[in-house]
Amino acid sequence: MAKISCKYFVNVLSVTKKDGEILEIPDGLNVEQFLDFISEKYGPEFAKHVYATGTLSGEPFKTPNIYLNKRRIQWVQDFPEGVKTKVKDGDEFWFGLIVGGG
Amino acid sequence: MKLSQQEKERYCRQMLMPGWGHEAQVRLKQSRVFIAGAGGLGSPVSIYLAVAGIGDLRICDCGDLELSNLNRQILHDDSRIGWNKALSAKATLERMNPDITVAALQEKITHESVAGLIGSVDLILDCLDNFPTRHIINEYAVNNGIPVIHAGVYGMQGQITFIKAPETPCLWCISAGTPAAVFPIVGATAGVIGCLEALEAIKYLSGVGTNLMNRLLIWDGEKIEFMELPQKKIVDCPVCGHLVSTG
Repeated sequence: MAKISCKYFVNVLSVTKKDGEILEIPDGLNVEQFLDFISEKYGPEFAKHVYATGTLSGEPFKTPNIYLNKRRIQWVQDFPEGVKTKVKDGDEFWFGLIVGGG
Repeated sequence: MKLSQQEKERYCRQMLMPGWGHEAQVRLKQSRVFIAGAGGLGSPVSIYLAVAGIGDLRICDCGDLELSNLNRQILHDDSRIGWNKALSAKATLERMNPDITVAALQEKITHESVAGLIGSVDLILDCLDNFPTRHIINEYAVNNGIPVIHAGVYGMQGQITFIKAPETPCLWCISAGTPAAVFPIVGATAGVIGCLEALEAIKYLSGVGTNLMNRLLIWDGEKIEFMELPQKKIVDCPVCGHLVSTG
């Protein structure tokens, strides 16, 4: 089992009711699988914050809305395998960090 | 362009700032900015830009004022409930500083309207409450070389960064967005982040100071903490990936 640190901010915190926790997850999961794992744990209200969805220039998109070790998973400079990156013991995930209101 | 005697007196305290003086104040007077949103963020942003002497403000909001806006939208008051917010903003700002010009734009920002609304400006202030509209503005700004100050608030938390692609990541590189919702907000949070946004704009337009580039500043008002996250471009970003960095 791997121990993963999770931090929850604002709108996600209102779902989890706590600002963070250490989760034990099966070894060998990649980021995508971990996001499925935690979405199942907290349900659809949490899951809708895990991926950003919409359209850009008329094209639909779905992309993770999380930070891993203070970096976006979309940065291939840091994560060449993207969501297929293996989750390691001690990794830190942030959920709900970016806010949208004005 | 010259400053009138009234303008010299109105702005004399900020003109005492090192490196500011007459020249920087004239630069502010010559500046044209687009403020997207006349709500929680748009209120402190537009007020501080107006009183600092930004010469030409274009403030855009298609919404009408509601009573539930008034815990944070300090441009407006009870007597204007039902008014279009851009019109209300214009009335407030021109009263606060009669030496500037304010255009009230009441149209919704869409792919079709964005060019006509923003046009040619020196800077865009993102004071919006949703990411779909932010991404429309981001695309327009990237394709026209206009810097954007992005900010967002929620509850007692907020964020801000200065975007000038290709020297910095564009908004898409920073966030694809969050779900739209009626969100909790304490007015003072919008005040904190809005004042930072206004200061970033004033620094950029005056040429005094440095801007918050390649860094996302996050404010947690509940814990009284600022946190910074370095920002990077997404390789092959669908919005700014075609630009070549000169930085």
